[in-house]
Amino acid sequence: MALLTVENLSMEFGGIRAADDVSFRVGEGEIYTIIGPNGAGKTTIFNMISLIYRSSSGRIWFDGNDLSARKPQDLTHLGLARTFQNIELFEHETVLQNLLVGRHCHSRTRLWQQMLFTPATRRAEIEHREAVEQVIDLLNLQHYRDSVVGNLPYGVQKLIELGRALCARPRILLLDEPSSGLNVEETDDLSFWIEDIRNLLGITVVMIEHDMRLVSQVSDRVLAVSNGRVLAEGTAREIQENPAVAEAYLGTREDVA
Amino acid sequence: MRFLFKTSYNQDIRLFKDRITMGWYLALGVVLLVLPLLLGEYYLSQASFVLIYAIVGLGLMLLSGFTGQISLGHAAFLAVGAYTEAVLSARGVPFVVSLPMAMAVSAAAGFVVGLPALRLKGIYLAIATLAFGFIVEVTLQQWESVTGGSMGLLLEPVTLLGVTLDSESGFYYLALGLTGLTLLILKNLLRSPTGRAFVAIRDSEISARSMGIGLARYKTLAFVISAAITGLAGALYAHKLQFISPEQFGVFVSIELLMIIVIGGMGSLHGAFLGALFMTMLPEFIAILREYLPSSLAYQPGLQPTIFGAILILFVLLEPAGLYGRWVKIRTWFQLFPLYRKGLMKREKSYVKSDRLS
Repeated sequence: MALLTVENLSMEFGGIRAADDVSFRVGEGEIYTIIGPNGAGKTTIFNMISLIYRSSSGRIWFDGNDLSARKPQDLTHLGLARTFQNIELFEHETVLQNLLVGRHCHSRTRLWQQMLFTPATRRAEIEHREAVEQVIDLLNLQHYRDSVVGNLPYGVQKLIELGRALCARPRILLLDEPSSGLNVEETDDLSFWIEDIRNLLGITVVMIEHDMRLVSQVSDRVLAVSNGRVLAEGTAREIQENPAVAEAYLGTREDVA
Repeated sequence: MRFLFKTSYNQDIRLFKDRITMGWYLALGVVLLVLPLLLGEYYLSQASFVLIYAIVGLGLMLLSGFTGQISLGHAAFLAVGAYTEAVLSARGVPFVVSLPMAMAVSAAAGFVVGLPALRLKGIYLAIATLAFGFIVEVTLQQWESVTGGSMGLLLEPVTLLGVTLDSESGFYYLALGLTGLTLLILKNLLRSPTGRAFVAIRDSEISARSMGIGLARYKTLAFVISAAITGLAGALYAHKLQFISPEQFGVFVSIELLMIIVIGGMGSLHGAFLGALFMTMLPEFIAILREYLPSSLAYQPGLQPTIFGAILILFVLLEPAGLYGRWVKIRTWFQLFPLYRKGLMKREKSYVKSDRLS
C-alpha cells in the first residue's frame, strides 16, 4: 500500500507545461528521490504535493486522503512536512523558537488558555519542548539552541529547516535539495541523518537532490524527470545507466557533432 | 557577563529570565506604584498618558512588530473604543460592562479590517488601513445623532464599582492595572503557540503555512486582538480627556501611534513602553525648545510635525531597532566590557521579507 500516490499530475503556467502527466507512488518507509536537470519541474511537483500550487489536473493521495480538497496548512496535521530549496526560516527568532513552530500542528490548547497561561498550557509547552529537544539531540544542534537563525552559517540553517520539519513528527518528509550549499563533509553527515530519519524515526522521505553520490547512497528508488515529464524510475544504478536520462543531462551525440 | 545554567524546561518558559531580572522588574513595579506620591498632578497626568499610549503601542506592536501587518489606521480603533465608551457611559452603563463592550466593538472593527489584510501585503495593506481610518473619521463627523459630530462628546470620570476615580492618582492606578494586565496577556500569548504563529507569519508566510499555520485565521486574530487592546486604550483615553471629538483621531494620530513602535523598537514589548514614554515627552521638549528659538520660528504651526518627522527619519536611518535596540547595545557593551567590538549586533540580513515562492 503506497503512502503517497501521485496520479497524472499536470501544471501549466500560461503556455508552459511545468509538469506533464507525472505519476509515481512512494511506499511507507521508502527513501524516494526525484532528480532532473534545472527547470525539469521537480520543485513544481513538490509545490503541488504541498498544495502551494494547485495542479491543473491530476490527483494526489496521501494515506488514503485526497489532498485536492485540503489546504496547505492541513498537511502537517495529516503528517506531511517539507523543507524549502531556498531556506525559509523565521530568521529573527532563535533556533529553539523556529523548531517550536514545527510543533504547531500538535498544539491543542485554546486561545484563552494561552492568554492566561494556564497549567495545561505550561504542560503542553514542556511537552513541545521535550519533542524539540529530541530533534536537537538527533541533529546535534545543542550549540546553536539560543542563537538567532539569521546569523548562522548556511549549512546550519539548512539543518534547522530539516529539524523544524521533523518537529512536526510527520509520516512523510519532503526535502527540496537538502544538500545544496553544503560542503562535502556536511553532505556526508546529511546522508547519515536521512537514513536515521527513516530507520530510527520511521519517516518516509521524498527528496529532490542533485548530488548523485548522496542520491545513490540513500535512495531506495529514483525518479528522473525532464521538461516536466517522467523519464524513468528505478534504483539509482538503473537510473544512472538509463540512456534517456543521460541524454536529458548531457544531450545526444548528434548535438555535439 | 553572567551565564545562565538551565536545568529545567520551565526556565525557558518563565516570565522572567532569572531572579535578578525579576528583582529589577519588581523594583520598577514598586516605583510605578509609589509614583503618585512622587509626582505632582501635571506629571502624574502625563504618566497616565504614557500608560494609555503604551497600551496602544502594545496592541500595534502585536500587529506590526510581531505579525508583520502594517496599520496606518490604528487611530480609528482608538476612536471606536473611545466613542463606544462615551456613548455607553452616557447611558449609564457601568464601567465594568462598558469597557469590555468598547473592546468588543473595536475587535469587531478589527475583524472587518482584517479581512482585506488576508489578500494585501506591505504598502497596499497600509493604504487599506489608511482608508479605514478616513472612513471612521468621516463617520464620526457625520453621524451626529450618536457621535455629536464635530461638537464631540463629554464624559464623566470613571466610576469603578461605586467608587468615582476623579483624582489623578485614581485614574493612574486604573490605567496602571489595565496596562499590567494587557502586558501579561500579551507576554503569555507570545510564549505560546499562537504567538509563535504570529512571528512565523511575519518572517515567512510560505513556511508558516507549510508548518500548519492557517494564515487567514492568524492574521484575522492578530487584527482582532490588536484592535481590542487599542479599543481598551481608547476607552481610557476618552475618560482621561473627558471630551472627545473626531479631530483627536485623525491620520496624524495614526502615524504618531506607528512612531511609538518604530521609535520604541519593532518586535519588542519593551519598545512599546519606551516609545510611549518618548512620544509623550517629545511635545514637552518641543515646548521647552520653543523658548530658545527665535519667535519667528518658534510659533510656526508646522514646528511640531517637522520635528516628529525628522526624528522618525533619523531613527529609521540610524537606529532601526529603536530605543530598545539601543538599550540592548548599551547593556551588551557593559556586559562584555572590554570585549565589545563594532558590528557585533549587525544582522547579515535586513528586515526585508521575501515574496518568492520556495
